Amino acid sequence: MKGIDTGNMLKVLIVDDEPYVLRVLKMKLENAGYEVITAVNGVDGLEKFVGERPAVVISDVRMPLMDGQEMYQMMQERKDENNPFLFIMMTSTIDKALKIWAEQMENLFFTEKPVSPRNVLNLVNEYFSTLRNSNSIACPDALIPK
Amino acid sequence: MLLVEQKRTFHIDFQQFEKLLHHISILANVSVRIMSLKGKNFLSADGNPDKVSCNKQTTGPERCRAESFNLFRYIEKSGKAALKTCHENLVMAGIPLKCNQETVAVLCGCMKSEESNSGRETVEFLEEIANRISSEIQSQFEADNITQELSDKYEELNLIYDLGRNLGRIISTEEAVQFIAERTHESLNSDMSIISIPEMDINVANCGRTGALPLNINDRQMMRKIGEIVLEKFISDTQPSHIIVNDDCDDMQLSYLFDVPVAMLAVPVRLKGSVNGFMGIINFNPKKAYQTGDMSLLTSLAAQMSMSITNAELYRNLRNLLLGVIKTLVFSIEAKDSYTKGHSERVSHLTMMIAGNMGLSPAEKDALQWAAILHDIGKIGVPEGILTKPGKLTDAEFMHIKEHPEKGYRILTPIVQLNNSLDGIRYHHERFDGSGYPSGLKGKDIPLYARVIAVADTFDAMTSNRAYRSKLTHKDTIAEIIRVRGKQLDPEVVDVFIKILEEGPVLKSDGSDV
Repeated sequence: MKGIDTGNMLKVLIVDDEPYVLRVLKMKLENAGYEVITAVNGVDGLEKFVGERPAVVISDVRMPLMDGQEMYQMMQERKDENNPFLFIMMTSTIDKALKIWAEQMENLFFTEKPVSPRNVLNLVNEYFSTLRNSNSIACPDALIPK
Repeated sequence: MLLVEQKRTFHIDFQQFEKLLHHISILANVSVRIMSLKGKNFLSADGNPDKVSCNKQTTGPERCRAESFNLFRYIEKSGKAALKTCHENLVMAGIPLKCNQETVAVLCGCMKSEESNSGRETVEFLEEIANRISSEIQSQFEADNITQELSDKYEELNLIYDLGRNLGRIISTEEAVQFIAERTHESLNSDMSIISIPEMDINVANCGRTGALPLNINDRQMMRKIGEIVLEKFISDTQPSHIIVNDDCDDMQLSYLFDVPVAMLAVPVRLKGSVNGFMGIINFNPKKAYQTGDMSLLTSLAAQMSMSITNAELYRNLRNLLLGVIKTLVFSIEAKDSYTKGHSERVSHLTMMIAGNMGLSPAEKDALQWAAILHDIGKIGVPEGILTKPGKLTDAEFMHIKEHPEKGYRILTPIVQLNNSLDGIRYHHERFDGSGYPSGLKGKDIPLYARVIAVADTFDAMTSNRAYRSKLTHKDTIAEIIRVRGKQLDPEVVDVFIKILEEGPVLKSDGSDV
């Protein structure tokens, strides 16, 4: 992939205060060819989001300093106009209030903990393939991980 | 062969040692490089290029490269460190870098031979560095393996949680088996999952979205053959707890079935204590071998499946029993009053047509249907003479008739499964304007089921012959229903019903149009 400016096309940010979850998802996504950045809480995650402009954010809900919900809203306020991002929220229980909130948000997916790394990878793959197919963002096939 | 080390690709990032090599080359005045197994030069650092670089020798870089390649090949084979004179004045030392006892790369140092008196020390130093690098690679390899293992465990946990969440909700055997086949295929690293329980007529194969496979799951004959062979092994005298086939030697009979090498894992499925079927996964990628971990997961999945099949069967039995009881009750009232023959079923049919347009949940529809078919059951307690009396009833006689909703309610109270239907029966003779019986409820105070049944009941009564009058025509019936809209009947339910009538003729269960 060297020589082509991939920008943030394949960049994924994972935010979780559990190191094992970070480690497993990082490995799974890196093996599939994505560039992975990790953060350990909401504040850290937001900082890296602003600095790195990932196309996908995978985050826990309950975290110290700033929870996933608040972080998502802050990210929405700080995102680039032409740069939508997919947000995958990992949670052990989806309560009703969270569900109602989530339904009104764009590009937000839930996955229940313990997460299936395979499922997360599928979601990310699907998102990138719809990005590729949509006209607004041109992404050469060569950039899509196998 | 039970345990086969699963081959994983592990990428070693030699780039991380770049700085280290650079400093070593300056400190020890050697040119160092790490070469990978394919002989490609990965990383190199020249401490002082003027002094030690091989490439600047008069003999030319080609010869030097050939020498280092030879040295490299030797180390790769022997797995031992070696020294070699490259030119008259150059010595090359090669030390293997190992991971899992395998040589994965070679650390090469090149130094001037006049310095090789003290070179002994340099070689020892390089050996120590190589050991450190090897142990770092080893740690990373192990961390990678553990992460992979953890990832698999997450997958398994997710699968078990998911089954727990969903199997409680699923009440049909077919759905449960299909669901388990799908999830097993997805989660267990397989190209295909098979579930076969011949005596229950369950033969399910799932390959998800996998592309072309060497085995066509629609080839019934082939699938049956696989099923028969596997099941035969499970019910044989040895009663194996599982079958693992990772290479052709494991089970000639099974391997022989396929044109291509397969890995297969199967466990028995027990229902009511005996083996009645099996559950298996197949992989056509010979690199992936099944392990004992996969076996225990599959075993617990098979147990989960047996449990939900048994549950589904119990549930079906219970439901059938309830259905039978209800039918018996309906028959007994119809035996008493021939005029109402078929009435209960027609009302139930009409009620369900209305319910279908009212956005009710399946459970609500069920309860409503029970209420509809049983709405007149209280008539069992009304003297036969009154029920079948032609002509006008006396007030006293009518009092008896009016008791039937309350009687029906009391008759059915002991059947807890019908508790949600009771209100529909008890209040189906209430009128929207409050002039009905038994309680004189008004408007929305009348339970919804009762308001729906009232419309269906009124309609069927009007379109049937009764002891005391002949049936009305279709046109008159509609006019009459509209006339009592909001008085006797709930206007909203009437609107839904009229819309259904306008869309087409309502086929009564006796086959005639209304």
